[in-house]
Amino acid sequence: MMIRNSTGGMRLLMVAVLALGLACSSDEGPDAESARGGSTGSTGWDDPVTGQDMDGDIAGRGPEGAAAARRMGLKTVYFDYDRSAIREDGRAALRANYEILRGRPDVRVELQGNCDERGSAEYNFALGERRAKAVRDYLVRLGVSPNQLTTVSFGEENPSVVGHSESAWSRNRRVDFAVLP
Amino acid sequence: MRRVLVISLVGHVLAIGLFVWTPKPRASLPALPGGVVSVEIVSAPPGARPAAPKAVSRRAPKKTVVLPDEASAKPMPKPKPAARKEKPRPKAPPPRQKTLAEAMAELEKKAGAADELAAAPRTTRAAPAGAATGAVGVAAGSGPRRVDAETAGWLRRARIHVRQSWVLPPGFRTQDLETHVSVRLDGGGRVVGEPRVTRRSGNPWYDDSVVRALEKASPLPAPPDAGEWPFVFRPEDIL
Amino acid sequence: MRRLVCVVGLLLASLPAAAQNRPPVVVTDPNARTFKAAIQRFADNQAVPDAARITGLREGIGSALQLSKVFEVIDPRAFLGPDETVALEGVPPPLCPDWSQIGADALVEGTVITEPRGLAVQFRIWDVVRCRRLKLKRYFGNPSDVDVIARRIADDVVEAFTGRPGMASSEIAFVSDRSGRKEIYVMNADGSEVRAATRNRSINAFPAWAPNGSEIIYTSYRLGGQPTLFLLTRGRRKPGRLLSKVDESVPIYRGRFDPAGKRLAFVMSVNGAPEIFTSRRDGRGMKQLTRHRAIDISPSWSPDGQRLTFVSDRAGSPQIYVMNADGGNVRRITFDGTYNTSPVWSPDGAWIAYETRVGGQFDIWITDPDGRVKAPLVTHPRSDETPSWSPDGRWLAFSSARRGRNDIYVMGIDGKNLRRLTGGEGNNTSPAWGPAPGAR
Repeated sequence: MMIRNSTGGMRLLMVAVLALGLACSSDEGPDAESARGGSTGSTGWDDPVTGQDMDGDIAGRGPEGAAAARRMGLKTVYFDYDRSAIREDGRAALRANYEILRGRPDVRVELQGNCDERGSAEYNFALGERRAKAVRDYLVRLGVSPNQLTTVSFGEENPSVVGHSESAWSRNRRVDFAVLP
Repeated sequence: MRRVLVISLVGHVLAIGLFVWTPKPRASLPALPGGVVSVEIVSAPPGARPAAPKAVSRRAPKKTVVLPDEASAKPMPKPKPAARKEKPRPKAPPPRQKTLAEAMAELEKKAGAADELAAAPRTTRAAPAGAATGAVGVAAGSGPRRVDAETAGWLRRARIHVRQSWVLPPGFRTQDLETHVSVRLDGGGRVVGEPRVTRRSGNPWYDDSVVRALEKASPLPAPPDAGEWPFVFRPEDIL
Repeated sequence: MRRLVCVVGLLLASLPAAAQNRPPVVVTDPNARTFKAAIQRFADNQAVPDAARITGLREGIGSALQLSKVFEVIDPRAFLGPDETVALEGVPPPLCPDWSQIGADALVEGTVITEPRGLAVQFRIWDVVRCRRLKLKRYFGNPSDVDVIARRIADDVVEAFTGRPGMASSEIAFVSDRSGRKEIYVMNADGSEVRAATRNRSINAFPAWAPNGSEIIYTSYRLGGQPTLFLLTRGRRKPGRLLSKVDESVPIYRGRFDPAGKRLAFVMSVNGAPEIFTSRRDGRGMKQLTRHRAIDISPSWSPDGQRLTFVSDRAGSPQIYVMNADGGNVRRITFDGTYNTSPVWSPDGAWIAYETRVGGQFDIWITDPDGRVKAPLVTHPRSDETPSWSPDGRWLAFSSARRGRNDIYVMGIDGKNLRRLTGGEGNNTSPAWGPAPGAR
């Protein structure tokens, strides 16, 4: 009986060795990969709608801020191409805006820098920021409390006039005022 | 007997030494994709623009050899520094003068050497392995090889023939790659056995492509003698 | 006897030297730029073979191969060898002369094995000129993923012959306003299968890939205040906010992963001036690299992660610069023109592509990282902007206004094979070419 067992064991061993020998001597196995890396089931990119109704606003801001600013009489400031220096007409507008804000220390205002569509989107982010900061600095020099002012840049992503001519571009190079809630 | 041994030993040591030490090519300007070196020389009058949209500066073709079995491949244009001078390039920002002069000088020198046979002097490139021994009397960068007319003719025919079989995708052409291969040819020009890479380029796929070219090219034009023949492969003879 | 041995020995030893005596044939400037591939119909292990799938697989491999412009596909009617793979195991290897005689460089043969859990496609790539097997590989996938598998196989064929995989199975992220808002989208490298990555109806910009190909970093105003960086992961629905320890009132934009995927470079405004920072992925170890009143933006890593190219207007106008990854050794590399931006470093480290303003519009040029050599690449009279390199460095994607609206185009780095990828819907800009799947 023991002999039979051991014969069976030997046979098993022989088979195992043979199998191993065959496996090792055959072609190297193929590299195996899953065709779509990563997740299973999903078809790829998905970002759910956030659930906020953002129609008509700019990047999460309601239209009320701009409307409130208009009601208060706050004026938009315009700029030359590639420049962030305040022009003569800009200075006049800002002096007028200063008078309005002086009487309303409760109001907080967002200065939104914008550019026309020409140029690199990234440089326009930075240029819009420069314009907003220029307006902020001018208002602070006039006497507005810095706490009333925040700045943001939309670069070329938020044109007020869609068009490919200087008439459209000149009206997009601007800093808008929006009243924060 | 001993003298012969000593001479042979010294000769082989010299051969190995020259083979191992090859002068590095002078650090040259990188080859641009499409093989073009930027030589924007003059700014044309402002306002002038090329009428048709152009993606990349083209070099005018130097060779007019039509390769019948590569109908789909277009001849690779070669740089023509003179022609580029004439072309208006209003938007071309001229590089700094010093760099430009160097680039131009280098281009002129290499363009002049471009169409020479293998037997021509190669002053700016590493010496091919074949220059190793002193037997033929040729060292790297020295005067013209002393090659008989039959061999010279065969070198030219072999070069054209093998070139037709060499497929090289664009990605390799911008690199400074050079592979040396030794091939055994029989009397009829057939490749015997496997071509042997005697100096690798550092890029194994490039080495594969040249071995493939030689195997595809078989049979080559019948060589002056059967035996081992050395080949050198470079993607561009300009840079 | 000894003399004979010595003479024979010397003769033998000098045989290789005899080859050296001969002047070499110097072969240069090959004309042919594309290999030729023969693709067999793969065998199907099912009792009733799915002919449509097998045909679709061959066509998918063929069109993906042709996309690469490294291979042409031989018409199967020209085959001397069998049109269909019989089996991969237990059969003699292909008769190479049958294939090399018709001009093939590559032979692709394979089998499709349908299992309960999906498809296994096993294939072999042969160099039929040298008659050697270059690759044996297997892909698993859902039956609906046959074209994904076909693209992967094609990229493997390109890799077997050139050392770098093709780009057929890579993807391109981009920004489109087709929905009315600027959102991030992803499409295949041939322009197919456009799908939305963001739908937050805010302003989204500047997508960039992580080297693992499973994450996209982007800039968004979705928090309602300043722009900041977000990370989207393939298959996951919610994006995560990066650099969450930075106050939301600080604008952050243009984030890019380093080639190892461990660090970020990004632009953050400090005292009103945009500066370039790096940090680890988790936001720790933040380092400010530029300290200048000027605008410093658009960082792009070198492939070895040691340097960055970026844009600065510290000299009065936006120009391209290069610096070490620690901010040192800043060098300007563009000196011509008044507006040079959007630099991106090529995957082989040899080039930086950028956009330059010419007259009133933009062209795309390339420069070596030392600024010595420059060449135009895309010079259409209407604006061509925001170049992005393919993972194999053979192609550039860019945005062009040549048809009026902005569309994404790709072009070979040798100036050939221009293709438009988007069309008909919105303005499509800011392409970011993702990594090859094999790299993930």
